[in-house]
Amino acid sequence: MDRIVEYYFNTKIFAIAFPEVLAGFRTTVIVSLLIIAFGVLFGLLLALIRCANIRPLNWIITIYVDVLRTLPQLVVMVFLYFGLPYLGLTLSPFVTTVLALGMVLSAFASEIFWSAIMALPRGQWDAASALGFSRVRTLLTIILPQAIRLAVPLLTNRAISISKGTALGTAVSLPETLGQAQSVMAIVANPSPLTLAAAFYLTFFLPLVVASRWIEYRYSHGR
Amino acid sequence: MRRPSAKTIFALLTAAGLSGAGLFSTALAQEADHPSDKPMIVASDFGVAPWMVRGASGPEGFGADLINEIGKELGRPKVEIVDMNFSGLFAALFAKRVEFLVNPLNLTAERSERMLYTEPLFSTGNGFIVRAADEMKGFDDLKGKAVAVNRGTISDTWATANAEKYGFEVQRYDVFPDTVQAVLTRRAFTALNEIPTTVYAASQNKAIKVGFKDFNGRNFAYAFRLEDAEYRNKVEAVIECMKIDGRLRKLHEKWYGTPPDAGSAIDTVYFGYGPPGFKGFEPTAHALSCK
Repeated sequence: MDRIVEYYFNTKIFAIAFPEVLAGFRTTVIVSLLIIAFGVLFGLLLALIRCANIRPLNWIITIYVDVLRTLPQLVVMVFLYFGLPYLGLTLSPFVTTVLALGMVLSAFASEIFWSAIMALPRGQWDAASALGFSRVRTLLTIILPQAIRLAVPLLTNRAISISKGTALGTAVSLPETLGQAQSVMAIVANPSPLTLAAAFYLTFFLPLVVASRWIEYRYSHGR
Repeated sequence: MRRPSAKTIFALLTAAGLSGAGLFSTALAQEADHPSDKPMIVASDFGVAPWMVRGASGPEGFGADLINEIGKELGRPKVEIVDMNFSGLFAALFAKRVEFLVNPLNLTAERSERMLYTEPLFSTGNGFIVRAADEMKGFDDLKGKAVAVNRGTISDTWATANAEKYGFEVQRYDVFPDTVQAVLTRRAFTALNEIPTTVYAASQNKAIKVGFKDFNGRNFAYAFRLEDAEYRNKVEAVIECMKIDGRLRKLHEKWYGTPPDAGSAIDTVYFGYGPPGFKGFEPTAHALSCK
């Protein structure tokens, strides 16, 4: 027991590591929220474009979605960070992480929105058009509100699991929670900062998980 | 065959849990942690040429040759070197996943509070890699630029401590090759690492060079868990023999292409066991029984 206290719950080390890990935590929170915002909105946009049914555009979107769903997140990130500079585009670690994970989330989100839209009975489109609604108006005022309700439970889980990937940002030198904890850990030769990092992740992601449960409940009981 | 009862399984799990937590007596743990008839398991971060790189037939380099020689002298049947990111090495050591650390690890006062070092076995300092077309004359040239370091290494510590003084930004990467990539892709002005590592990297890649060398009396040494003093002394005795009979010097010439600088730890046998001037030093004379 003494060993685990010494190496994982060492209060002296906690005190040393706290400021650095806290700074990392701030980055984690901002990056995670941006990933969720960008990923979900861009995914919705892609699903809407698909509704327009323009064939070449649909192909491009399908390729984008399938490639990003296939590649490991770390590969996307490392490619954007170390690959693009050779093409003349140098992104900061912050932008790289938001963009890479946001793109992955958008791929999943667009698929979720699209299948939710497709899941609604075709008859609703026909009924709306019989009442003189344009296609765009039908989509925005009748189809989409129902589709979003269907999509939310699937979306919250995916959004949380991908935004946790901010920890991968250490690979591209993003100074987020885990990376900062590892730096301190190496200096003092004690892994206690990792426990501190875990505590920080819990304080951010636990409320997110609880909130997602609540949102799922609200939406599935249609109000 | 009878199925093991739930009680047996519980007992086994408890025993495994207890041994994992290290509650066994020290003497027992010493033999159990370093069984003489099993392969020796040690860890290093790979990719730090020419210390440790992945070759066609397993790990290669100065560090690989050295630890294999030590394993042989101690009568272990085989040496297994586990590849681990630098930032994971200490946790692995404390969790007893490995017996000790054999990466190019700097000896520092802070670290020697928690780990038991051998005596110094290699002298080093700060080496700055820059693009071939760039110049670096001294620390003042770092002003307003970015310095890429391997996360958690002594270079990270140095850069963090001096960032404000010299006015540069620190970028931290998981492995050394990524810091060189950062320089090549112009994300960073320089990649900071151990002098021998930077010299070797520059000799392998025409796009970069070592812009500036800062020898500051730092040394590499192997690191053990605090309770393993006896085992540390055993390993150190082998290292001392290799210094005396010139095997260590030969390894340096083989992998770095040059003899070590005068007064390098490669040629110096230190008094007692452990690192003089740091915690874990045992100032007792001992006779060497070199083969």
